Amino acid sequence: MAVFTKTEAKRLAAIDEFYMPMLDALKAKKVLDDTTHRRYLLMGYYRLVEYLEQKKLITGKQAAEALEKGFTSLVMSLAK
Amino acid sequence: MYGWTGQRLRVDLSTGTITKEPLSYEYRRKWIGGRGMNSEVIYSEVPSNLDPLDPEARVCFGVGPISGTAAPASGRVTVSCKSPLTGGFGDSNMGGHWGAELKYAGYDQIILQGKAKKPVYLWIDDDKVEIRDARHLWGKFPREADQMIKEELGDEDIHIVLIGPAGENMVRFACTFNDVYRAAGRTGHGAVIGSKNLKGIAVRGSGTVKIARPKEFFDICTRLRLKFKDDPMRKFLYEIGSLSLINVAVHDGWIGAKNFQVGAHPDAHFMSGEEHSKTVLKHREGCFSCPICCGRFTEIKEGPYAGEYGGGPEYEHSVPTGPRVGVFEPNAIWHNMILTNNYGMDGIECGGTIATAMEWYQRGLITTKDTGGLELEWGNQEVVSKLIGMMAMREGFGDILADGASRAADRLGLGDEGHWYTMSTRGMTMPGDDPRGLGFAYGTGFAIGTRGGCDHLRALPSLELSGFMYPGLNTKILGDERPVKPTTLVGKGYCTFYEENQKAMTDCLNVCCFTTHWSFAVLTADQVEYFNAVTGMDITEEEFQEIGERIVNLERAYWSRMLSGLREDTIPERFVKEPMPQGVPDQTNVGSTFPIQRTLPGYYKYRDYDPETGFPSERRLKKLGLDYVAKDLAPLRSKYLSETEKKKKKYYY
Repeated sequence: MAVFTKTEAKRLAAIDEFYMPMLDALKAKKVLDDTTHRRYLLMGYYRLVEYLEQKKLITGKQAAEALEKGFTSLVMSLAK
Repeated sequence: MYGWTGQRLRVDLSTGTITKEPLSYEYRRKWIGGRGMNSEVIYSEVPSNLDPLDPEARVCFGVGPISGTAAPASGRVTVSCKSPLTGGFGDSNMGGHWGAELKYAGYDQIILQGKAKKPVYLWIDDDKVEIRDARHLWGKFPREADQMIKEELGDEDIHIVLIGPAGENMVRFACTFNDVYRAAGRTGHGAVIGSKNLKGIAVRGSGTVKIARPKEFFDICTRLRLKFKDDPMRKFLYEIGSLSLINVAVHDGWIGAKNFQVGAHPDAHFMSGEEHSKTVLKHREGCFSCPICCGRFTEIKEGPYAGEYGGGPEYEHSVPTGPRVGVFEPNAIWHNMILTNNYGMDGIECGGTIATAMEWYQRGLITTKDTGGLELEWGNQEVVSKLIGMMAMREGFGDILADGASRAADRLGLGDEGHWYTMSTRGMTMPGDDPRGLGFAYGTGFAIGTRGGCDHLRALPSLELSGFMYPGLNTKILGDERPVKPTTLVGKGYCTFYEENQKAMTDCLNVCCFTTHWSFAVLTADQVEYFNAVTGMDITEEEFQEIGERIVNLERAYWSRMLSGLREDTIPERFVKEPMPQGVPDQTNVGSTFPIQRTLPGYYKYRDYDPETGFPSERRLKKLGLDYVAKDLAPLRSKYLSETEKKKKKYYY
């Protein structure tokens, strides 16, 4: 199930200071709650990717790609 | 108890009272050690309206639970106070071996208060603590006093923290040294120590640090040490020291020559680490438990300064007392470094203040009538060398500059125009790093630094500096590789936020940031592992970063309490308004400016700072267990926004 629409993903990918908007968007989609939003704010991107994989929102392959290519790849995966 | 010794020493120099205070489990877990415990004491015990040189002011020396162990580079000590330079929160840390020795003597922290009637020094020999006469040491350089104390106590192996004549004369950027050459440079705590008539602290310890899970701990240390063996940054730091940055800084245009009027200069490569190693490097020496060993010693071999010897150089000391004042002759720069160390002054502030005066002179704001006949032409090494001594001894024009650039502007009556050239934020001048080339995360860090602005070591967002040597690391932590490019806006707010929290914890553990923020051989997860193995605690990576965030917020609140916030989160306007000129043919940042107004709002969102005042939000403070701080700040928010406050221009406090 896609978390974002393609338009939402493209909008996020275009933001320079993207990390907080991405966390906020995941919270708006109820992927994150207050606790996990704060956790991944503090712990950094790769911990967020691990969490999303653990939650089966992305596959192992997509997680590996997200860590190699960055957040644009991640938000696009979440829009598939 | 594991890791910590579980007690601190409080010394009241007015009464001669020496007290040992226990540190509870909750306190240790909340503040960890070093910078964290020191910041807590400064916030709680030093009112924001107290003169930093008042006897009631505090100076804290703190080490962490890892100090004195085999963890890589775990020998640092944090020194904290209310800064006489900025008037706000201040701290600095130093390497050497003193920190480990303090731990072996049985203490996690020393709090100094009061003022001795005559010059004294403190002698800590395990449980035995004495205040001893130091009248015969007053006026001595640290290297002289160090030897005299060792002879007096009959032990060559003790470790001693000392101030120089500048601290005794309360130069507002005086610093302290341990093992003679390891300086805690910034924010002027040397003056606070001098104001208490304290020359130094000698320590001998015969204890050990208890480790909760020794095998696990040593396995972690071995793994990390093996990483250093092949670490790209370690090789640079060992072979050519922090002066390895010189050629990079020239190429990328951030060396800040002539008070940041130019970012690159063709003659700067003569002072590069490569050249230094070939010509005047005497030997190398590492701090306690360090796998990098970046420390170097210099002996000048020719010219007017032949025969001079001393510790260093470091990039951040040599650039302000070299290119910043227009001096490019390497032996002159090494001489200036040795001189400022002998007197016990922060080389950054010293060079920065002279450079400011030189620009005032260039622009006609001051003349030889103000300077006592000194011609402050760029590159006039004779005058620079003379002024360093005059500042330390508070003689003539040197006495004015000994108060730092911002206060000197007021003492000379130069008004806002004079302040424009001080290259400072909240009363502290820039290190040798122009954000128009070094990077926008660093630049953001200069605006918000919690020990005064314009400080490279506070946020220390080095993912944009040395991150390129670790391909994929920016993506792993920040989610994108682009923040490694200095002058992009991508991810700079988060880079500053993340690294600032981690740096605060690095300073609580008192490990060297060269292992965690310049080299990236040790990452947050590694730090959590060795912390838990030593202490037997079970903190998570999330809690680790949250403690860092707590400390940043507490220090920020110290400034908020002084009504310093959003309006003061600035950087010198030169970086925003003047496009970088070309200094060398292949310079990469010609024409660039630093758009602080575009990076700061993003950073504020991560911090949850109030967008109107810049104060930490009540919500975040409560989440961090700082309810009492939220209560302190509540009535001040409206005061900060009042018309009266808005009209005030605050250059220092």
